[in-house]
Amino acid sequence: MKTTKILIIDDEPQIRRLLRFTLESKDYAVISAANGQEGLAMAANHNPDLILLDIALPDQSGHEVLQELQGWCPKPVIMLSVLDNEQDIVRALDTGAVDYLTKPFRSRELLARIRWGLRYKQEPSTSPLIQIGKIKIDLSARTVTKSGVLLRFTPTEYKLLCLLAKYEGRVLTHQQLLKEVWGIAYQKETQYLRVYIGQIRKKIEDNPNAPDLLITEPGIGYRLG
Amino acid sequence: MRPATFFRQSLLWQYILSLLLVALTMLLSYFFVAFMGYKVVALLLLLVVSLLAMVFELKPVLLASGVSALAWNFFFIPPLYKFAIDNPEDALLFIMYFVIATIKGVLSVKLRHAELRAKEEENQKKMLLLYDALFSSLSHELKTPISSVVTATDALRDGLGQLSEAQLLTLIEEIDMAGNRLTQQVGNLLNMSRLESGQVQPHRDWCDVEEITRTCVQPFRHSHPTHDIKLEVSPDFPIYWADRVFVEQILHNLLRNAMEYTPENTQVVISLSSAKGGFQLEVSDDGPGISEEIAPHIFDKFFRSAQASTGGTGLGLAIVKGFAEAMDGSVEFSNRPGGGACFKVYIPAMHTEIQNLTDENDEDTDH
Repeated sequence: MKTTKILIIDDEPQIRRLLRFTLESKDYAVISAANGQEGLAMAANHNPDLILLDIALPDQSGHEVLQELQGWCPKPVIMLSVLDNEQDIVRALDTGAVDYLTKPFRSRELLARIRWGLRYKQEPSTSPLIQIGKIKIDLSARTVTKSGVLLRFTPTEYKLLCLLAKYEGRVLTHQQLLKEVWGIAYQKETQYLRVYIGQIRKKIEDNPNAPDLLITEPGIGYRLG
Repeated sequence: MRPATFFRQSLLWQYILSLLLVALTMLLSYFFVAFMGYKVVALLLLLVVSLLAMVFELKPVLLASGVSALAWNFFFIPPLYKFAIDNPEDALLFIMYFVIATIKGVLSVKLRHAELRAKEEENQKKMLLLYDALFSSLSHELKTPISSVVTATDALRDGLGQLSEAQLLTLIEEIDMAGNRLTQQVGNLLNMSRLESGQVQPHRDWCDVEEITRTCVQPFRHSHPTHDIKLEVSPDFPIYWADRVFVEQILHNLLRNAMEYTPENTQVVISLSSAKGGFQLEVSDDGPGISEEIAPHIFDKFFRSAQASTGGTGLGLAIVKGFAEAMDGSVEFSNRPGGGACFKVYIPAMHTEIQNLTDENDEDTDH
């Protein structure tokens, strides 16, 4: 079986060492680069399956590297960032990064994000049946059930839920969700999103006050599963 | 820039205004000189120069006193419209006027500068005290977790192959705790320096304050099972146009403060309610409360009460105040009548009109 290859682009040697240690102990093959140029060369020559890209690099910004990768590299990119720059993260996600992690992060989180990233690449799921916890969505029959019990949704709620479900496990930004569900003119209307997410939670979560399916990524977006 | 500051800063304006004021006084006096006599005019001019000296720099004030002396001579002292003085009494008056105006001007300006310097020195002294407090608190708050990491790593290395699984876990937990504590402290310091720089602008967006609060409370429930944390939300509490990070920081620091200063089994109640033009966050407990002597200082930077346990920088409540004010809000403290502390934060914010969307009005938003 071919091992999965992960490229780390980060200028901090200690972060690279620890990431390598964590990933190799889970049987991933790891290659790493300390700056953007080196990273792009490695992405081109070594064909990694997934790229971990730091937003702050010494020679050029992670955004530029991401932009260039989007041109020719179809592989999923997960951004790494230090706390406190949501705008940066949103920008990267809107440019095409599949996910993000803020430092300091837990290795459990890192491994989960990598698993989801690898599973979905850049493409959403195409299966008509999606199962997330107790929730089952049948896209062809347009039905949603929880532990076998049919749930009723308004058309907008359904559209929003399906979109999140198709990208199960991945964060979708407020703008991505608003654009897809309401249209381009509604990209600033996060109030709709807040209200609808609340309504969906009341239906799918066991405890809507402590959601564990439909997760808020503060300042960035939402994630299902 | 406020107009007063502008005039104080622009020297050109000070010259122009000095001359204009002197000219205006001369003009008014010219009409009334018949009633009051030309000697009183000198007193009026002296008054104007004194007033100028209270606000303006030295040079414009000197110019005003010189010009006013000459103009008084030219327009008011006989012979009129000549730079000449007929009788010795007037000559003496003229010289005295010039000397008094000059001395008055110089002294006033000097006095003002001395006051300013004294104030600056005092501020500097205060800053130094703050830095002292910061450094001692920092070295303690940062070095403690760092030394935990170093000690625990040594113990791990020295005990390789000998430590039991339980011992290993203990050491790992220590490192983990140290990491969390460092993250927390660095976050607080970053927030404080952001607030200090005065460049914190709220990024308002639609906020589900209830959700923010629930998320904020969660980690405290785990870390302080000793405390009973309750959340009360008024029915139909809407979504507000506010800065999520600021609200989060305010809540987080108030909760942390409550945990740190109250004994076990204390009940902490957070309540969210709508207020006029915004909303109110209230964090109250049934702990010992805060004594009247220290209550006025609790929002000061680096202020820490003697009852404080370790683990704080004395920045928490200062950050609460800073973020509340950055959103044009306010925070106030009171002791509850039955005992315990109560913090009320008011944040002015618009709220959404949209609530409980159903299929009907759903259609409106669909296209």
